[in-house]
Amino acid sequence: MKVLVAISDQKERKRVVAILAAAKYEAIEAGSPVAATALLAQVFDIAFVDTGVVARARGAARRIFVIATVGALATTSDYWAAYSAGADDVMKINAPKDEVIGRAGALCRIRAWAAPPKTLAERLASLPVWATLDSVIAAELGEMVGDTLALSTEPCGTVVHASEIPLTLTSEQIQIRVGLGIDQSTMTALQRTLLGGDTSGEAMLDAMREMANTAGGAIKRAALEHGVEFTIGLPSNTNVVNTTNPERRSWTLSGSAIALTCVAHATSSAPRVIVIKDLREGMILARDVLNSIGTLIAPAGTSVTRTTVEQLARILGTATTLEVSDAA
Amino acid sequence: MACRVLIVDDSMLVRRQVSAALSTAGYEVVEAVDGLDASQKVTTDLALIVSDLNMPKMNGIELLELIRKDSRNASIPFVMLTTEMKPAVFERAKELGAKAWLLKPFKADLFLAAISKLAKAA
Repeated sequence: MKVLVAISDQKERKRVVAILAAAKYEAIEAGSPVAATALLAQVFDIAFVDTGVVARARGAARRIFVIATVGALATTSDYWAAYSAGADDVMKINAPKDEVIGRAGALCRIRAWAAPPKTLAERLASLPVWATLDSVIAAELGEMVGDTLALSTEPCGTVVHASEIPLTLTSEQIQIRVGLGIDQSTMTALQRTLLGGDTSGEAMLDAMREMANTAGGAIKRAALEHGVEFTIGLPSNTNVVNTTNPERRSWTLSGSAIALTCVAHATSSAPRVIVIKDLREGMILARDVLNSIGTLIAPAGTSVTRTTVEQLARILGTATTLEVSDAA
Repeated sequence: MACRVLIVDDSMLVRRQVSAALSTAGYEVVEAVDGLDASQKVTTDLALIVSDLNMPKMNGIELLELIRKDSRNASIPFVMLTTEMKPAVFERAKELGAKAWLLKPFKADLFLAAISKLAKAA
């Protein structure tokens, strides 16, 4: 957090800067109202200023918390004057160290609550694995099919089979669905290399699901290296290759005999409340589920199976509500 | 007598690949399509259970918990074969006595080397 300290009393200013710096705030000092005004062109989270500078600070930066400093003998009317000028908080000079840090910390918490929610695009941009999905999937599927897969934007032929895997990041309310599509010639090649000549449609659909599952597992492991833990749902043969979702990345993986169309698209996965009788396989539990004495029954992030549904219904009853994200 | 190995995976492709590798090495293979199916095929003479993690009906951890509850089957070595790594689930599998956590896609020679060390002698 970046804090401007523009208190005219030099001794108090230095003291507050030292306290904040020791508490890991980025504290910038301004020795005069003119310097403070110039510095307020930068983005600060909090400003400690004299009452006379409050209005200027408020006018220069709308999204800043202003703490007015008043004299040690300040009266109610001094406080009133500071608040009237636009202060968010008032602090007497020579306030104890813990009070300075406490006031700054409280405003930082409010600032975090008051911050506008990040858009899905912003959340994805801060997710390192989103930018590297293509190479992660290329390496893993290449190993699976025994081929080196190169990335390109060249479209492959008409998709004849497709599969997808959902990955949910509950903490960020993001769901990424990764879809794979193959054309006729790739299908023939995969029947030869993966399925030992089995040409049944069932075998091909199963292989496509396993390829999506393999891609999902690789993404999950890559994300873990950045401390991000996705929950994987079950793969299916639903076709998301043709999605027009704006939060979408697509590419082609080409090997010596195969070409795969890949699409990753992201949606917001805000949890919703449902009763246990409406719980379905593949849904993701958004919060820890506890029994009546607080024992953990199923942790947040659990991908629901039929057994989970039966267990929860037995322990909690079918009318109990839970928060879930859709992942299947 | 050949060692019997139960392979549990909802993917036919994986069951085929694992079965082919194990059969070539002389193991007798029993297949199950998910944890629920596997729970009905567990027998005390199994030398090893190789299970996927994410499956419909009953997942690999739920299967392992179920097996460990039955003292007759508690000593059957259990290996997780999955595409993913989830630290909390990995720790849970270890607590329940899983012997290994192998990643898919697997290489047959490395897979067999691991299995031969873990399978109970027939």
